Amino acid sequence: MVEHVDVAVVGGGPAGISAAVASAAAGKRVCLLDEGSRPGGQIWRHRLGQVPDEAQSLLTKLDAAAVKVLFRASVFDVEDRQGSWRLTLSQGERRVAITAEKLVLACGARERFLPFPGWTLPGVMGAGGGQAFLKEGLELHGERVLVAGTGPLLLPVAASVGKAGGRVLAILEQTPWRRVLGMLPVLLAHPSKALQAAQLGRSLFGVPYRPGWWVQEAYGKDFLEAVRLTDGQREEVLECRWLFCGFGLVPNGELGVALGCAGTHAGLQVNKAQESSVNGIFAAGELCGVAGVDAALAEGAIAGLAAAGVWDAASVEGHRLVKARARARSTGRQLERIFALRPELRGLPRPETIICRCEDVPYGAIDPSWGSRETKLCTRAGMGPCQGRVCGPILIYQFGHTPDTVRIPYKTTPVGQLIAEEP
Amino acid sequence: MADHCIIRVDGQLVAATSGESLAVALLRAGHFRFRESCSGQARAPVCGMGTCYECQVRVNGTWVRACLEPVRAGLEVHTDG
Amino acid sequence: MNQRILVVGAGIVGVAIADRLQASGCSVTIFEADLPGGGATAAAMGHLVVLDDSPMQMAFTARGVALWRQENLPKGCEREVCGTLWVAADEEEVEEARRKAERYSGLGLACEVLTAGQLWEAEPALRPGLAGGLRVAGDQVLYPMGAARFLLKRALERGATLCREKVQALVPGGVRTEPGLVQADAVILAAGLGTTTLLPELPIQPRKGHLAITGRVPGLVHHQLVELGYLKSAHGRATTSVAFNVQPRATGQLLIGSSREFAGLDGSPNRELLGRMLRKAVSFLPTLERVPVLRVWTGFRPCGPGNLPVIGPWPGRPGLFVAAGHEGLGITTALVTAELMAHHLLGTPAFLDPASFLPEPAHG
Repeated sequence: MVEHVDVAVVGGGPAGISAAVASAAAGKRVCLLDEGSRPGGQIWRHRLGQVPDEAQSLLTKLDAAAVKVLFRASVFDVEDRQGSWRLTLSQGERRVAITAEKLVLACGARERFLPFPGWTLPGVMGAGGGQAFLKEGLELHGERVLVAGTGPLLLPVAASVGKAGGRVLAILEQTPWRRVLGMLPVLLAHPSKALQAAQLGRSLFGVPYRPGWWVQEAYGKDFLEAVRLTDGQREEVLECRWLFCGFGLVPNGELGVALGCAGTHAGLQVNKAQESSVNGIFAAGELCGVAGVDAALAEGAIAGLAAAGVWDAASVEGHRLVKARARARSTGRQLERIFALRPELRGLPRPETIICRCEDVPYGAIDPSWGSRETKLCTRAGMGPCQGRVCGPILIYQFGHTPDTVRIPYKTTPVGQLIAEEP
Repeated sequence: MADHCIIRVDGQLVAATSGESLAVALLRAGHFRFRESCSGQARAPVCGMGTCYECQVRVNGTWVRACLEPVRAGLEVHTDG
Repeated sequence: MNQRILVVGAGIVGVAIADRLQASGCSVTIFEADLPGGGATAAAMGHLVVLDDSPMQMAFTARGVALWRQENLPKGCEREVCGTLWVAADEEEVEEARRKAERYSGLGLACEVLTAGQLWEAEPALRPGLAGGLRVAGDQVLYPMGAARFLLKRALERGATLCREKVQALVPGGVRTEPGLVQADAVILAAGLGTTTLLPELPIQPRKGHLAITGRVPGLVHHQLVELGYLKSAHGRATTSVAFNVQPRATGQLLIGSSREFAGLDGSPNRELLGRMLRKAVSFLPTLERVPVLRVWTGFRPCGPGNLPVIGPWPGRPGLFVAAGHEGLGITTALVTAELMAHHLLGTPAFLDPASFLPEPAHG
């Protein structure tokens, strides 16, 4: 049996939930799909029964709304069925097919990783990755942790480390002090963010925040033992057990690209009603360009209303959403400038440093004169189970490659589930 | 509230909590080799959200991403994913 | 000697010819505007297989595999001599395996007919109830892109040159490119599907295929596995078909094939056909069902007018030679194609009757 809905929303973070709730409120049959086990996406990730305060109101609305939610659902195929979309997804051992009149893509973003010697050692994780595991209950028992990379995310990660019993040695922020100070006007313009920052600052009291510093190399045999850091002139070596290191976020645009939606690797293009260049496909939140939770909430609501055919920019609610979106997007652009990656980071990998973790392709195996396809065919970079989601942005950053085309299965999928029903 | 259970990891019994992420259960139990890369390196979770596949293990014969897999009593986990 | 030769196309056939002729003292320029090996070569499975559709096809493929065997390939080519195991589903196919064995033995190729028990011992992952099989020990697998790049690199090291200009047209005594005419003693057209654009009298049809690659499951499959029914499904020319064809890669991954269809140049996956292909694979290897597929891609076999590719001088166009229409055998027969071409150009020995491959241009 193929279930039919009016609106299918892919991604259960703030944007997706917001869209699903808005469409459902307009009387549409809505289905919300997410790879995780609970609603909230990465930002509101939580353990069972421990919903974060800021998520409470929207998650309560989702519970109350007539939205069918499928968790642990990886969408691996979307087919254009002339006027409707057929989604096929893998849910554990099950294969599920859904048809929908409209699609809302709210697939969010993933962390950007940059390669440096030792970054493949167990104990080196993404900053958001570390955060995710801490939210899921990882305990650190006084272990020494270094938080590094770039962006505002590093601060809450460090705070979580402290809460989980870890000892944060430092927060290394690659962007220099003078640019970090550019955060001040952003905070002043958003009193709620300033308050959050102040609370974070209190919980991080005594933790060195070191703008202009970055990780050069991680050492260890079977597990991380130490990290060498630099500010370009000085070097230090710190012994530590964990390194949580992430260089900002990149949109999960794959599904949109596969469906022919216009955009770049920095985000899908949408119009004022959050509709993509493809009729009937809407997009909201980080996959339209990284701008944070406020943009996601506003755009999700707009996309949900537009997908339901009831979006009215001239209404009171419409005005509010448009304003919120503009404000959040402008903040997003400011943050992007403040936390732009410094060129020195391109020089971190050595010839033997792995670039593609799935296929163990070393940096030295890639001829800088090659294009993306040549690199892929000659080295297998991007051909492993993550389908280039980790090394793709690295190759774009290091070599200026263009993003790859996207084909089914959009996620690694068991053979048996790729077999369609008997015709 | 915690619902403790036992899972088996490469033949060893490991205490875990029902519903928590399998990756967290493994890390807590001191498992840092989730898979072996093509060139034989040990790999452990990186992204925590199902993107990187570094935490791929086999559960009851099926390949899963440990970070997305909720723990249930009696899981048979093999770290040769 | 020291003829000046232009080879149009840097797929595996083109680079094999270039390498062979440059090694014999010719001065070769290869024209390739796109990525060398980026067409049918990159999409191919890389199964070096002796096929016995006809005596000449058998001699051709056997010579092709033998020439690959003589090559000392670097690691990047991922060559493995895993052999082919032709799987017989029923007694009728076991009979076919026996006939096949006689033909292979007749050519001096090592092979053995397997009973159902021996088949199970050789490949325990195959489903129970199969009737037997035929093991052809000398068949190999390799990574086609790696092999093409190896041959290209060697040709360039021997002094050949690679020109990235697009060939716009064939002209008497040379080719026309954007910057101008390039003259030579001979032009060899080895442009795969691009052949017909430059030589409309030689129709090469794209015969689309799907492949899927799995995650690593080392030790699950040991031979290239092909169903004996393959010959039935691969050789009906107009029909759409799938066959069980699974290859163990050096990485521990499995390549799953195969499908054949004439569908123009639309490279998007045909979900129905892909499903049939995978269902067939699971029917032979039930454990595949839970194995993850990482990627699926399609490619176009350059399918010529006859059962054999066209290799040799093009009638009525002095100095023009073609090597085209290898369908699914381009990788297997790249080196023997080069050997035949060398025969035509240099008079070196051909181990096969070159007349069997001579072009018969369509009239009108």
